[in-house]
Amino acid sequence: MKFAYFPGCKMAYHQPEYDMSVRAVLDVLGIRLMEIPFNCCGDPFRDRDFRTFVFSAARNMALADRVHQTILTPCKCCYGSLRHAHFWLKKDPLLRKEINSLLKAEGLRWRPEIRVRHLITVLVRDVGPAALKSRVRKPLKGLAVAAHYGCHALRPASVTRFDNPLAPTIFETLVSATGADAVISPLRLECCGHPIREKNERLSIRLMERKLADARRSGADLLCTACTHCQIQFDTERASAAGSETEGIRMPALPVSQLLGVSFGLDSSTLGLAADAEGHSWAVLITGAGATAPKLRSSPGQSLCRVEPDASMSQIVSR
Amino acid sequence: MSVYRLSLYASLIICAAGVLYRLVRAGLRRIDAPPAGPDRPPTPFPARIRSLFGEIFLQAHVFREDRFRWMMHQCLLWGFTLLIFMHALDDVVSIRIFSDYAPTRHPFRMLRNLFGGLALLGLLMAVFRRLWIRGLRRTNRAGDWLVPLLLGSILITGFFLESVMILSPSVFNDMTADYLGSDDPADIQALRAYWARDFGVVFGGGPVAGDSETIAAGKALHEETCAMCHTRPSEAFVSWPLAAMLRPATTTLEAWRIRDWLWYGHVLACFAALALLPFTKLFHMLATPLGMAGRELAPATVLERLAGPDACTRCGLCSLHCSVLPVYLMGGNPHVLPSEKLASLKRWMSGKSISGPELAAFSAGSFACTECYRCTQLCPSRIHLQDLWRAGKAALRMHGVVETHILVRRRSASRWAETIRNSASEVVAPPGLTDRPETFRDCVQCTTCTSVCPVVALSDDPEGDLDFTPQQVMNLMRLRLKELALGARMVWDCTTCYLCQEHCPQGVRVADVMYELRNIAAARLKERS
Repeated sequence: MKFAYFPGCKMAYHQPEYDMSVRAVLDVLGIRLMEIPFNCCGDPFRDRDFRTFVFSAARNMALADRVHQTILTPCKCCYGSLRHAHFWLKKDPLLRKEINSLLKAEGLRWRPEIRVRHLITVLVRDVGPAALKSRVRKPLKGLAVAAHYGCHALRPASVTRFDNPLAPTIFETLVSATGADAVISPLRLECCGHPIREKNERLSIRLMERKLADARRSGADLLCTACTHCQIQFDTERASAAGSETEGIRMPALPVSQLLGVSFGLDSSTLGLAADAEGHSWAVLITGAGATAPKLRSSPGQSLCRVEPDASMSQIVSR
Repeated sequence: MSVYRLSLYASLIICAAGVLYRLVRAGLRRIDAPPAGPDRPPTPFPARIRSLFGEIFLQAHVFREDRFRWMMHQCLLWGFTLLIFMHALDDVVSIRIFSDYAPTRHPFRMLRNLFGGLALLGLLMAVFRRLWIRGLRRTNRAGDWLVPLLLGSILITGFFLESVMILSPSVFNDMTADYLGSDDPADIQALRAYWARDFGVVFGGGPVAGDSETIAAGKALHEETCAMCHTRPSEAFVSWPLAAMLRPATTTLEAWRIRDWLWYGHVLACFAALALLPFTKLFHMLATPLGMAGRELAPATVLERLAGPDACTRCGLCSLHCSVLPVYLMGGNPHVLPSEKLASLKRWMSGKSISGPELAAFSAGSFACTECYRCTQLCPSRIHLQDLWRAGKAALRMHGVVETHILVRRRSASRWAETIRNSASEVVAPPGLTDRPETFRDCVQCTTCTSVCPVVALSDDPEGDLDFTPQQVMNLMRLRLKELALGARMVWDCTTCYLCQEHCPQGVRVADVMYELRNIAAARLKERS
């Protein structure tokens, strides 16, 4: 399998670890990625100007189409944005004509045939849970993982066609493939708060707190994301929101590719698991050296063990 | 004091004063936001020094990216550097190192042609690049041609000067008068014959007749008097073929004193380049290494941020690969593009006031940046652009220039309705939702949208915090009170999670309406500014 890889703008600077782990995991699965000089997916401009948003998204799709590739993105906002533009371009011939006349200046053209996939869809629908399980070397047994769905890929379902918008299962299927227990938390389909991070900081943080507390209450050890923006919110933004209630909630967030990579037995440097935003070293814990960490409690018969609730948020998993 | 010396000192003084001025100006720039963290994990100190050396002198980072640009810059850098030391400063440098140095001797003549040729090749590559790459033409400005013009003049006058001097009989006559030490016409004739044959001098009155004996005598004289400074010019692989081309025109060249004009042109172009060094992009030769050192040795320092904006050569690479290029293509605001935004940011940082439409364009460009990091990774001058953009956005916010989301929260919905009501413009976005009655026709005000909304759920007093709840916004639309909805905090605090739209039993596109209301307000506010 080969895809045009669309990491999205926030990846390189804000989430290089997510990028590294996506590449590492897809490499293990034999999925090749093609680098194309994509531009912004258009999502930030949905607030400002609809046509600018559609043009940005359409240009990406046309760039992938020029080399006959399907787009694969690990970001739910990018996915939603591209799908949304696709939907309206397909539906509205006037819009399509206008956008295509703009694209023509660069020798590009948008066609309805171009396809956009999300990382999760490719992993679950194309690769399949069975094939994923066969790659698992270190099953994450005993680890309770809450999947955070991410709004823009899921809804509106008529546009995004990601999964059942009211009762999706695709993310839990993926989490289960790693051997971890998929925890269903009541607010799993709700917003992480990142879309209004710079616009209404207080509201954004409160939305995040609600999600984290909900995952905690549901018995999860870990929140799993599959979107650059959600991961930024639960990782770096939380770290910078010092003084808020999020500080009291021990609920680390990990991108799905890192979770998968750990279960595949990939080493932590390949997965960019060196340290999270709060400076805790994941690497130590996952490679086994963490067994010497004082607060870890070993549980016989389990490859991974839980940590005391008051321990550092990252000291979750270790052999 | 000769005019030459006077101009040299004048340009040196201008250059030194200019450099000082630029450095002081950079030091006075204000820094409103704390610098972003280092962009790379720290490496051991010796490795940093090594990589700094590799990047400044060998441009290892450019080599990895693009061989063409690397070759171009290496040719320019080493061509000009070596020309300056070996040729321009020959009485200070070359003559001290090589006791037998003479500009017309082997191998110095060949080397001068080599260095000049390299520099010319680099310059042609640069000009070709600017003209050839279509995306680069977007950011080309008239001022971008000044430096290529100056450097080109230096090189071209230099090569022509050398060719004309090879051909010139008057130079030959002056030299023989000064150095031959003999007035014997037979001696002069013999030397002429030898020089006409082997050194390419063109004497008036047709070819110089000379049998083998005369030439042998000329050669003996040459070896006695001239050879210590002159070897055959055929090694000047640029100027010699050029001289061959100019050969038929020698008489005219002599008559019009072209040699003198070329000399003046060459010297003046050199002095002009020297004097303009601090005021053109040539200043990057100081600012770039300074910024790189700041970044490499003490990341995220003031030095790096200050030297950064001066290090830009307007190569256009950042704008060519900018992630939000489509926003520029669509709206035509040049401040969206990094290379253009940097100039305004520099002025802003210098405390110069930017106002009116320019400020609006600058802030729109600044807030359009998605921080994709691409420009920073690509910048051959290694300017930490990401840090500058983030600092710029922080500075704008600090000075009250904010994004629409934050602006809207400052007033109530009804006051906004007054302010932005009278705008003539009306956005006709292709979905055109808000103006179509059928969008809201099916709404039965069941409040499902409000009850699933996570923003509403977080509020104890939704109408106080948000002006209206989602279903109330829909009701406003049904009542054709769109103006009142434009500034409603519900519209701007919406996280666009689409729960409302997904759950609406009547299929009302609630979230899409929120988006469109934002679009309309943004367009009206843009028009107002």
